[in-house]
Order: sequence, then C-alpha cells, then structure tokens
Amino acid sequence: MNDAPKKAWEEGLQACHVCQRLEPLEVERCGRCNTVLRVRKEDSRQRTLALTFTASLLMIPAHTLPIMTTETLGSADASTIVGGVVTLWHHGSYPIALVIFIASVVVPFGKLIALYWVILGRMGLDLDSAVRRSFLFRMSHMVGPWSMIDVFVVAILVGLVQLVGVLQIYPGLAVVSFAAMVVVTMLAANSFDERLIWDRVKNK
Amino acid sequence: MTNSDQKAKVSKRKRVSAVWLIPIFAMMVGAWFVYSDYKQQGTEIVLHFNSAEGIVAGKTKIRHLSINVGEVTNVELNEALDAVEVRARMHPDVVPLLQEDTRFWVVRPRIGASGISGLGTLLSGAYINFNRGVSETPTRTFIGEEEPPVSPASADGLRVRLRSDSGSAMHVGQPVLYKNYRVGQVESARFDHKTEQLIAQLFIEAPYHTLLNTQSRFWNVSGVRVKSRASGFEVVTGSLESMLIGGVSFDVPEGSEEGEGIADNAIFDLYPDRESIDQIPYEYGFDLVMLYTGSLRGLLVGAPVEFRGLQIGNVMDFGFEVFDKAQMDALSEGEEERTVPILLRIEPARLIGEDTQENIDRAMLGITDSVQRGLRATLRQGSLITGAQYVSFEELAGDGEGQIEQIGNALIIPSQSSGIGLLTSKVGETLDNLNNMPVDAVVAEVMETMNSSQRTLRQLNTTLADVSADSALYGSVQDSLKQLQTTLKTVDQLAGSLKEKPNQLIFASPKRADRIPRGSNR
Repeated sequence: MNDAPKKAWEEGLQACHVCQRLEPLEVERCGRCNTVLRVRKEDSRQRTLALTFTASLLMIPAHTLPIMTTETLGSADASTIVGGVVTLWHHGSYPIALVIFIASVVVPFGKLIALYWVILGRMGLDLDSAVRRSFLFRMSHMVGPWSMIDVFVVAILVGLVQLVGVLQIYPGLAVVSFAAMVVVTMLAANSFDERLIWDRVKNK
Repeated sequence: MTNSDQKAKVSKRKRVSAVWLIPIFAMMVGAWFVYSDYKQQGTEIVLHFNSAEGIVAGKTKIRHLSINVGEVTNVELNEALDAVEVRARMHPDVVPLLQEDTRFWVVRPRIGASGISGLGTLLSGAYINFNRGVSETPTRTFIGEEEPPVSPASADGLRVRLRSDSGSAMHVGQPVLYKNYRVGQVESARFDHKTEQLIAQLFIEAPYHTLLNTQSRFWNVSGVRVKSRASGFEVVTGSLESMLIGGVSFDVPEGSEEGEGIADNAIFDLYPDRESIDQIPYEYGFDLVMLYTGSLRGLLVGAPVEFRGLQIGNVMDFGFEVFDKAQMDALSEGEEERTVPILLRIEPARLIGEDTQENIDRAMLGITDSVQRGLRATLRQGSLITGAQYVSFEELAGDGEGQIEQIGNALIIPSQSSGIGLLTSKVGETLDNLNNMPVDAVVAEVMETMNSSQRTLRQLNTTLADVSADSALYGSVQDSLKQLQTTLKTVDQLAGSLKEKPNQLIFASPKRADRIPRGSNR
C-alpha cells in the first residue's frame, strides 16, 4: 500500500532516542540532552531477546510457587496467583478477580508474547503490520508496570495483617520472581529499539 | 549507497552480547532452586490409617516434637478400599528416625482419663505425630496408630505383656502401681478373640523396671471390691486415682523366693486382687481330688485347704466338669451315691520345707501314709455368717485304713462328709443305737433285782432277829447290797450318756478363726 518510510540515516542524520533531536551522523552526543547518539540502540535485538527470555524463565516460578501464605489459627494455606484468582471468583468477587487476572496473568503473558513477536517476527513486513506491531509494543510497554498490582497487594497485606497466632500472612517466593519478571520485561521493552520494526518494512 | 563508511555504521555486529548472562544466571538460579527443592523433598513414606479424618493432602503436617518435618502429599483409599493410604514426604534429617518401631498417629483433640490433649488441633486441624524408632530396621511403610502411644519407643524402661481372662478391662493410659506409687502405664490393650484373653502391654518406667522380676505378679486394683470370704466380708480399695480410672499393681507374693530379672515383652498373668497373688505363690504343688457326697453350698474356688487349721493349699475347682468323661464313667461305677469332685492344689511348702520337687515327693509320701492311718478330707463351715466352707484334712477316728486311689490321672483322696451331712448321719446313727439298746431288758432285770432284794430284805427282817451281825448270813446280805449299788451306778451312767451325747453333737465346740500362713517379711 505505502512505500517504506524513509530512514534518517539515508539522509545522513540520526535521531536522539531520548529527545528525538536530529543530528548529523558524525555527531557523538546530542546537542540538547547530551545523550550518546546511536543510529540504532546497541545490540537491541539480542538484549531484548535475552531479557525477554529471562522474563519467561521468571514467569515459571511466579505462577507455580505460592505468592502468599495465609496462616489462620495455625493452619497454613498457601495460594498461587491463579489459585487466588480462582478463589476470589468462587467467592463472587468478580471485579477484583478480573482485575488481578488481567494485571497478573493476561498482561505479563501478553507482553512477553508481544515482545517475542516483535523481535522474532517475520522479517519482511508491510507498512500496516508494522503499524500494528508498533502499536502493540507501545501498549504493552505502557500497561507493563500495572502488573505490579499483585506485588503491591501482597506487600500491603503482609504489612497490615500480622495478628500473631490468629491470622498471619507471609509473602511467598512467587512475589520476588513476579516482581523480577515485571522489571525484566520492562527492561526488555526499554532495550528494544522501536525503529527496528520500521527497518524491516520492505517495499512491495 | 556505495559509501562503504556509511554502510559499516549500520551493519549488525555479530558478537554475542553480555546481556545473555542475565538469562543464564536466571536459569542457574532456577536450576538451583529446583535442585534444592528436590533435595529437601525428602523420602516418601506410606502410612495406613483406618480413617482420614482431618488429614488433608498438601496441608496436614507431620511433626516430631512439635516441629514440622514432613507433609502429607496424597490421601487415598487403599486397594482393598477399606482403609486409607496416606503418602507423605519426610524431611531428609528425620529419615534415620523412621525405623520399624516408629509409630505414627493423628493428633486430634482427646479427652481421656489421663487428661485432655491436642486442644490446639481444634483450630489448626489435625496433624500427624510420630515417635522415634529405636530398632535398626529402616522401613517406609507404617501402620498408623489410632490412639497416641503412651510412652515413646525410645523411652527407658521395660515393656511387659499382661494376660487376663477375667472381665477386668484394662485401658490405655491406666497406671501401673507399685505399692500404690505410679511406676508405669498401660500402653495398649486388645482382646484376643481366639484365646478369649485380654492382652495388655505395660510400660514400666526406667528406674522402676528393676522392681519387676520373675516372681512378680500383677493384680487388678480397679474400683472397689467387696469379697465374701471364709473369714467374713472384706472391702478392698486402691488409691483414689485407681478407684476412678483403674489400674494394675504388681508385687512379689509374700514369702516368695528372690526372682530373677526379666526380659522385654515377658508375659505375666493378671490376678483379680492382691490376695489371689498370695494364693498361688508356690511353684511346686500337686493336685488332689476329693469326692464329696454332701452339699457344696458355700464352697468357693480359692477356699483354703487346711490341715489342723494350717493352710496347705486351695480349692482350685469343683463340680462335675473337673473330670472328663472317661473319669466320670470310672467314677460312677460302683458308687451308690453321686459324688462331686473337688480339685485341690496342695502346696506343701506352705507348711514345711522348701519349694522344691523333693519336698513335693516327700509330702506325697506323708499324705499317703496318713491316709492309711485314717486321714480324710472333709468340708467344714468356716463362717456362720457367710456360710463359706473350707476343706479340712483330718484324722477321723474309726474310719480305718484308706488309700489314695487313681482315676484317670487324678489322685483321689478319701473323703468324709461333714458339716450338716455328718451331723445328721451321726445323730441318726446314735438314735439307731439307742433304739437297738436293750433298755427294757435292763429295766426288767433291775426290777427283778429290786424284787429279789425286797424279798431278801423281808427275809432279812425275819431272819435278822436270829442272825447276828458277824454271822455268815449277814455277810451275804452285805454282798447283795454292794451288788445292788454297782447295778444302780451302771444305770446312772447310761442315763448320763443318754443325756450328754446328743447334746455334744448338736452344739459342736466353736471353731477358731482361720490362720493364714505368712512368709517371712523381706
């Protein structure tokens, strides 16, 4: 439909990836924000892939280990993220169950899938799919931090509910791996140079 | 596009970025977690329980000394569908404790005679507890106990088994007393339906297990006992605790030999009370059977056998079932009256000598000898109030020679009926004798004598005038008078014995209390 967009370096220019100021290729640092200038982020694909892979690894303990242990009068009850969602759903708290499900399951998984798709996706693209990909990437990047909601919930509960002997809540290992997963995904998204999507657009 | 400088700037570098260290690190951490988790998973054990009440897979913990050392991983019915198979993972540290005699039980709230336990599980839910095993045979499959074991297998002490035929039930947790002091407890009790015996396992705690030896005997101290005995009534109670929850006590019988130490799992018999342990304190003894024609009313098993008031044995059993059929047949031959066999156990060491086989043989000879000289077994009334009877060996005059007979394998000591039976027969005999006595003849003779003496007197009167005091006639008169006097004396004696003899028979001189032989106190 459309031609591939023209690239800055074809005109002998490069954009600062922080403040978007265009500088000639020879310039080392951005004249406005003093950022080291690169035509494309260094090792972007490798870094993103590595970090996304790390995030995928962290995803496993985050969803299999208990995220918190509730000890009511001596009887401990450990629950995973999905287990908690199922419990909430059974208790009729549909909105909360949905929020946690979206924030803790849908978004992280969606983001990982989006990242894999963006990095490993088919090389030759038309402009439309590049636009969709770009949109998806930005969306997941934006929504990503909200995944931390589960970590916050656990942190607050552990802090508040400490009635020794009657009701106690302990964080599980899943909290750590989940938080690490969110952080690593964000790093992965950050290390990805969005412009690589456009680089792949080929003329028909 | 042909500018090689520009091209070089955008070409991708093929070197591997250091960022790959991050996923490698993550993988290593993950692998380490998996490894340590696998290592911590420990050993799987299988427990068999009758019921899975309160046991939840993934939740129920296994504790030792109140520390979590394992977790139930799976609860399911066994293959036969009649019990529960609980699978659990044990912490590697406690695996050495899992021996053959390790016992598992579910801790639930319990209210028993010895207190309330497991209250915490009301809220926290049940957990499985175990005692460390001391045997050297590791195993992974255990039969769960329904009741918590009273004392751990590793505790110092001695375990003995107690056998009881009577209905005196023993319960887990009941105390074992020694001179009313608690030295142990009943660990388990079960009824063996084949032998119809109650088998209880007792645990005697460490310093006190030395009190137990081969001579020790156990008796039941449950509740209150009222006994009617040959010597009257007796009320026996133990401590308040044993009155409420029962218990068993042990001691050595009075005057018994020094016992030897015993091994684990020795078997003892439970006696109904303290007295009965003194009843059978002798190892050596022999059985005699007396055949009795009179009434056995008032005779009890355990009644004493006495020789001149000194106890030499006990009544072991009586009734027709003492003999088997062959013996009964042999017995009924040539017997005009139905007799009841009474089985006696004679322990000569009660009276004289050591508790040895030689002494038995000697006593046997002695009894055989005495029987030939008239020794008879008989029943006597011990107490007028209770009517209890005892067996007495007496040398009854006039019975002549007797001998110990043998029917089957039983030695029969000749017996003599006594008590009321003896009394009635004696009175009857006496009356018969009286009837047979020629009283009329005697009286007629006396009358004749009187008449003749009257005549003599009259003759005397007529002749006295002409007979002087120193004449021969005078002398014959005097002789006649003397004769008359002796005759009158005989009549008097007869009347006296007639009066006295039945009187003696009816009011027999009262018996003194039974004497129970005591051994020396040690």
